[in-house]
Amino acid sequence: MTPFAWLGLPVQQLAIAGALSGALLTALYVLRQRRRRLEVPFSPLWEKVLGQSEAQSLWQKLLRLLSLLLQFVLLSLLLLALGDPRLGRSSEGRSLVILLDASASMQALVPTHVGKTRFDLSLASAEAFVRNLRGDDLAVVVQLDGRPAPLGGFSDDERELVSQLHQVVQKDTAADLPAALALSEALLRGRPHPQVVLFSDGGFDVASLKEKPAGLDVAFVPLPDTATLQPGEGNAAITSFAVRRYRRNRLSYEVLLQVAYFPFPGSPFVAKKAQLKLLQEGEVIDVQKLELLPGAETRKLYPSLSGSGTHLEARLELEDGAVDVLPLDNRAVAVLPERRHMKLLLVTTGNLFLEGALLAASAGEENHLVIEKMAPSAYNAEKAALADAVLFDAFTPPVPPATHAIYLDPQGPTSPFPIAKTIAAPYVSDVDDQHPVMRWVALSDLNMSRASVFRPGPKDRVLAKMLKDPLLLSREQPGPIGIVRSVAVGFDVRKSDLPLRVAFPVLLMNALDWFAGDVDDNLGSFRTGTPLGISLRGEKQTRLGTTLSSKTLAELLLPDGRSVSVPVHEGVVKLWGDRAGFYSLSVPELVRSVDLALNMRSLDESAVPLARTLRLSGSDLSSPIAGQAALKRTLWPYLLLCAFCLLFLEWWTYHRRWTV
Amino acid sequence: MEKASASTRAAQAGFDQSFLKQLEYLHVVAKKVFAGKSRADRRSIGRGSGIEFADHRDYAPGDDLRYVDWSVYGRMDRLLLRLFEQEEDLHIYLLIDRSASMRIGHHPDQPLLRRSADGRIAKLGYAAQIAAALAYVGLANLDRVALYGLSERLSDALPASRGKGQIFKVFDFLAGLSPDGKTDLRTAILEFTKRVTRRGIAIVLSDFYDHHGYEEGLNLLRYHRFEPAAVQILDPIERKPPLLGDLEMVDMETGELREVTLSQSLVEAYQRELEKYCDGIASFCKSHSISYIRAETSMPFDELTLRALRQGGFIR
Repeated sequence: MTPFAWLGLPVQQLAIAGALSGALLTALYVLRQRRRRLEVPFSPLWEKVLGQSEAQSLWQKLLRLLSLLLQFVLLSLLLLALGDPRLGRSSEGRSLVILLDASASMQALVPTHVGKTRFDLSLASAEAFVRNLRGDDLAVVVQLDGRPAPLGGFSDDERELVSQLHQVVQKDTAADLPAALALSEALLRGRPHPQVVLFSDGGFDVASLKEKPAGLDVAFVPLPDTATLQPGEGNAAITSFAVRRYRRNRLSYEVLLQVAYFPFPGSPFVAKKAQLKLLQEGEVIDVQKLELLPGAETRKLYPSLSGSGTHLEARLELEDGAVDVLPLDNRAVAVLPERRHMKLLLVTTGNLFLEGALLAASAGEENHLVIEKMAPSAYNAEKAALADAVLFDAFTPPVPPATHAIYLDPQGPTSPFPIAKTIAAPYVSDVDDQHPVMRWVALSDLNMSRASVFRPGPKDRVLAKMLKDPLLLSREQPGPIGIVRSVAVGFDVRKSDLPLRVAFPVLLMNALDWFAGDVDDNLGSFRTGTPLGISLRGEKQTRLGTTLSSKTLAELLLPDGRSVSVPVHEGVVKLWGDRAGFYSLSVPELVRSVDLALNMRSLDESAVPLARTLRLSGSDLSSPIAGQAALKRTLWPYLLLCAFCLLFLEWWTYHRRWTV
Repeated sequence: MEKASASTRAAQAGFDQSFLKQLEYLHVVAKKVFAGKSRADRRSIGRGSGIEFADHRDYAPGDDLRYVDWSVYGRMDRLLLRLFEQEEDLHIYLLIDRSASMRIGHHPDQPLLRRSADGRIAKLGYAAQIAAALAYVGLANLDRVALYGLSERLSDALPASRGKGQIFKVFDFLAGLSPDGKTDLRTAILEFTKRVTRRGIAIVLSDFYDHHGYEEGLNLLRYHRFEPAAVQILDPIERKPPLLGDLEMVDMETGELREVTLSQSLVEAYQRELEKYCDGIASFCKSHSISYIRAETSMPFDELTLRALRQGGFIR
């Protein structure tokens, strides 16, 4: 045990400050002070008096020395306070990690405490715990949400710890308890008497409670006993909200909604009436009455919806005055891909197979695909640049177009995909089914009379090959419209049985969707508490010839209206969304902002369980040992108090004329 | 023209019509105080050829034989000469200390002889007011009044004059006094005795802060057969200095500096010392038959003048 620890200014700096200020103080003391002038009519009278007070003069000198001494004492006290000395810790002190649950379920209202959430009650418990820590205890607060993090360093200062507690912000994510325990173990490693104190409602998924770091002592503080669940109350939630545009007609879309009702234990098994609204750009487009069975999910499908809006929102409300304790999951949001037409320039001498496949891909009364046919002899690059995509059927343009393109059997030296050789009667041995173009495309027994073998470049990706010979390639490279994508097929489709297969129109459709960037799997929304990588490479840029900087900053508008800067690395923005709602990403180089939607989507959180005991890794968690009031280790307030008392004493004696 | 400018200077200094009225009132009150006396004339103690018998003395050769008291010679066989009280004009000399220490109480924005808003007045101004009052009473009683300014020497003088009409000259003389120099009563009074041949009442208005001692100066007046009177003038602030703590103390007359740290106990010791000094002056005066009055400038000057008159030593 060390008697003192210095946490403020380093000793060297204190010594320098002390030397400088001491020298200044002495200089000021030595300097003759300017005295006030007193005119007297007859000094001999004073001479007599002052002559008698020689002894007093000695006393005055002593007083001045005492005054200097007092100033040095005051200076020393102030310097010591700046050093922030702390009393040494005894071996009895604990090292505590205070885990405060800030997950979505902690936003649930507590019916027995009007206007209070579970988080409010847990925070109050944690504050009381901190205020009763023993003087020897060190603690740190860790926010328990989807990405646990400490909110400061270990401290024995009550105010510091309370301040850390008040930095905890509620999040719309599930709690990652295993990560929090792993973090706690790392924080407590090598410290005496380690313990984790968990303040939570106990709403964790079963898997996260199975294991804990070996040897870690975890204590659990549930919500106060007064925070009880009332039978008949519960939580209605939108558990899933998905939206997608139809593949054959991108102008229409469908919506899938799942809702559920989670009653509190002991509630009667009675269906709850609810109203489900669907809104597009804030306008209600559908309202449905539902009866929610306790514990069961209800699924609603909204097919063939259309409209120019891209922001969708679903709202769920219980009827008949039923109490819904968690408003967070009564709202879900989604963003549709932008509704847009695609202009396709078909350069062909005539290919009914190809036209038929395109026709199949774009069937419908209202169609997003606009096809313009052109003979190879009439082809010009300027016209091609105006199209969203160009399909070259057995024709190789002298210069690749400045837009997306599909090359069917490109030939010659001007082929943008260099040809290594030609092989007869090839077969497809490998397909890259992870690529969006090859999704649901089966080429295993495809027959071809011949095929060109490509020599892939650095920006090329092999989609299909025969052993080591690439037959199908895709390419992404920067171009005047942003990222220019192209697909090359190494054989003439008319000299294969591909047009007779379902794979042919699917391949074309996939390629065109890939060009348009409509290949995301988010189905309109993401889940909070998961890392997101938003690619901006498929987005149209502000002007021709510009490319998205490899390193730039994007402005991210959060659901609460705040705006933050996020880095864009090689066209991708890495995000961690912990709030449900709409997000908007804007980059100066892009024509328009990229909108995102995040929902909580956690059944464990929506179930809002309330546990009085918690079983972790097979054993019940105990309550933490209450602390005892003890002398706080921080000494600077006492030093300042001493300085103040000395100043007051000096002031008092001066005005009583004892020291004058 | 010169008279008018002198009058203006006196009025500016505080000797205006209202002050004159105050003096007239004082004169009337003084008359009432001494009601029953035939005249305000004063009999000198000089023996001469008056008609009222005063005393005898031994005959000396050459004395006028007409004044030999033959009846006493017949009874006692001894030649004694009859002495009669000599009636003569009374001379009143007002000696005003105008040394630098008399500046105490002076407010920089006010004329020296006027009281400031807080009621304070320079000691010299107060002395001038008393001198004016005494001079007025004397002039009104047809006595001869002369005024002198004292510091290190006899600096200013207004020759003796008689009659109330001379009061404006007195005002002008007093308005022209300014505090300066050191106090040296002995030198100044010695010069006074050399210059003045007619004996009379010599009233010294001073704070008596003389580094060489006040006793010799007063004794000189006695030795030269003047009837001396002392009016010691003090300012209340002299008793209680306004400042405490670390101070630079300056003697107003000598300019001598001394750094001191004044505490309450030191001030109390000084007050005791001042009291002792003033008591010393009073005791000296009493033992030498010199009328003595101690006055603080906070007291109205007319009240002090009446007190002086009542004391009866100055004017009968």
